[in-house]
Amino acid sequence: MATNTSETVERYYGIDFGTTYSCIAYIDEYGRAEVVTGENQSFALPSIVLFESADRVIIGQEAKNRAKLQPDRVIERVKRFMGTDWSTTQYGRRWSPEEIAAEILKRLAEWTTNHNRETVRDVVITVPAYFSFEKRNAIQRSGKAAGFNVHALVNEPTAAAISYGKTSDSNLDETVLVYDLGGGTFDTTVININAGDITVICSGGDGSIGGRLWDERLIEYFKDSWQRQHGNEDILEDNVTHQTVAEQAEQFKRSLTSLEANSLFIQHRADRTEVDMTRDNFDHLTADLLTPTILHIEQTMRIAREKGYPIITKILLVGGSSYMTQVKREIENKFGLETLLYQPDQAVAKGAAYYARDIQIRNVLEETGLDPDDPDILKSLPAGITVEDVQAATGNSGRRVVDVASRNFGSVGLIPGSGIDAYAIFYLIYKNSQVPSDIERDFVTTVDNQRSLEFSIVESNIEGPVDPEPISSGGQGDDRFVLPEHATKLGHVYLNLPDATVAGTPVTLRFRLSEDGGRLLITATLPKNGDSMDLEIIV
Amino acid sequence: MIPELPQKVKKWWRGLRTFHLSGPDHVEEPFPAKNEGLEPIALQDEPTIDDEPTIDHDVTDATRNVTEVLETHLSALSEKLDSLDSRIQSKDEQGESRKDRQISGLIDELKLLKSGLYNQKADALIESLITLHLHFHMTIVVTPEAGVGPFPSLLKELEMILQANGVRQYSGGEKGGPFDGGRQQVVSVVDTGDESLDNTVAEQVNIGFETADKIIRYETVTVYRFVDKV
Repeated sequence: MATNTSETVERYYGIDFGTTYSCIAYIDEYGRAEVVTGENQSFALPSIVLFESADRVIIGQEAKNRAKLQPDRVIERVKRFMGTDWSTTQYGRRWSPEEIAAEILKRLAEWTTNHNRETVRDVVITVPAYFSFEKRNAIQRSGKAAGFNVHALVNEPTAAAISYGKTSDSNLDETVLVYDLGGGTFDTTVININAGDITVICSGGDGSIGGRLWDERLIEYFKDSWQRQHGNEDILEDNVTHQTVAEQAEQFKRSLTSLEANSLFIQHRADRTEVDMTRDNFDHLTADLLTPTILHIEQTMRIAREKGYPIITKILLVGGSSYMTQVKREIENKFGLETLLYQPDQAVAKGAAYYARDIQIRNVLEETGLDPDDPDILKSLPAGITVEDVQAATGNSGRRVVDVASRNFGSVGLIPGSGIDAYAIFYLIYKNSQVPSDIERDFVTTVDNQRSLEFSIVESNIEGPVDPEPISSGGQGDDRFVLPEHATKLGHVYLNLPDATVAGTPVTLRFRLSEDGGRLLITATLPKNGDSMDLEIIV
Repeated sequence: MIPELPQKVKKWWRGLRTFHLSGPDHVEEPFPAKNEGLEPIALQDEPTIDDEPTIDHDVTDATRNVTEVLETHLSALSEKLDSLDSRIQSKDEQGESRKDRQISGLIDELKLLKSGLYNQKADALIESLITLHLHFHMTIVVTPEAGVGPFPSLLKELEMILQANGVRQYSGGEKGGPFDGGRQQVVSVVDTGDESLDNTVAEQVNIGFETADKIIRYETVTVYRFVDKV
């Protein structure tokens, strides 16, 4: 029988590193994705870190339980700081977001060791589809700091679609929109699933939308309710009351997914008040928060139409905040499409686990040099993987995953014939174009005897930018141009030119974006003598 | 199951047949210069275009040579066929095994789904009952007259219903006892100038509820925090 019984080969794991909760999944001996359960039989680790003392860091529910004791030492939703300069100093030590995230990842690894008696070494981590290179890079560094080999970063909606693809009819050809409303992030992605192959058509999202906005609206409502009964005192100025009401709001919101109405008691010092609310009241109170997500759906659908996918068959609702009944109802009313609440808390981690399994198979094939048809390959793979899985992972029988670029990528240059300070971004790779991609664009030197040429490599996050996109000129040197808010400089490629180079000498810029959209290799070449310079931006 | 012969083998076979029946004058297709596709068997006396047998050769010898070659190649083909059969059988078994495992997995999933749906409903109901319990409790605490009416008895009845469904209360929140972040949740802190009280329970706010394997609602407490100047 050609299934593996090897118990000693360590698995690759899929990690959903979330703003409010994180989880880790693997493929079990039956070929199914399983999410690891940890303390208190929970699969969701609160992404909360408490620096209890100089040498003790507490992660998860216990950190949450202790939060009010040391509110200044609690870090919540660290994901929003990834790739930024933010830091916190605790007991004299400076902690970056990457280091704090690494503590959460390490805790997930401990859960796994307790659950599976297996050490977590090789992982795939999910990221929001709209995440910039800097943020992706920061997640990658967190994984390394946690002691993992991070084999890939996979976009969260893509992971959810991979998981969904496992449960759908393998011969089905359908185009679905994944609506991913998490605690602190929101993504929409249109994905075509055809005979096991998953092709991402386009993606969008907004890091400022998430379930916490609904919580904050409830907290404000509770404060107002208090003031109506007890006067104008702002109970939220009291840290203890604020934290208590914040927790109650989260629980209250969750309760309204199953209850039509609920009541809540607010206690502030010695006074109490009762607040009653129906689900309809709640939906009415928060209706405007849902609107931007509906607009994102419309925009993503429009881009999908332009790319030749006019018919969406269903909308998959993932992310913990999709449990709110208003999400399903509003989307169905607005678009008249079937919605499927698809394992909102687990789909992303499970999809990452399938993705990780396929990477493990491909790595083992490469290491052993064995043929995908050779049953011996199974001896080098974890229990439960079949030759069929091996063939599928190598793309011989479906299950290919084709993703899209999450950003536009280009270089700053001068607009021909417009003067020496008429800068623009010249794009090579566009957001939502399929990856891998390999694009060249020719540039020319601007003056005679130019000694060098510098390409400033930028990414931008707007749909369909004009090309070239004019930008403002600035001062001198590195400040000679000013990037717009939607663009970020990733690095530069500096090419020395030979003596007596005349104006108009061509230089070729080549961008190669990897299959997972996580590695951008940039090469500038002077065709005249073949000199070239590379820059690799790795995520 | 017999695999389709490669084109080179077909040509070679037709060449052999023609040679055997009609002699070299009428060979329509010459032998391939090499026995491509038939490795690893190498022919020692393989006729080539440059070394074509003539009509003067002994036809019997030629036939014998060809027969030997044919037998060698047939033997090789037979081995290949056996190997292919074995691999196909292995794949069939694997497919069957995969199907069996999938069916078994689906049955497990259905069971889990069924129990999960039940547990989900039961958990929601239990959480609501616990909330009701807490509300009763709070009412008794903040309204002195409620403590002497039917509320205490109703509260006790509710506790018994929960207990009968595997949900028991827990309480570790004795004043001055150590705070346990694994089972207790701080709702507020009480500043104290007594350092010995630091990080101990000041007051229990609500009891906790747990089943055999998990905490459903953490016990809530207020905790002392030492500050130099109170």
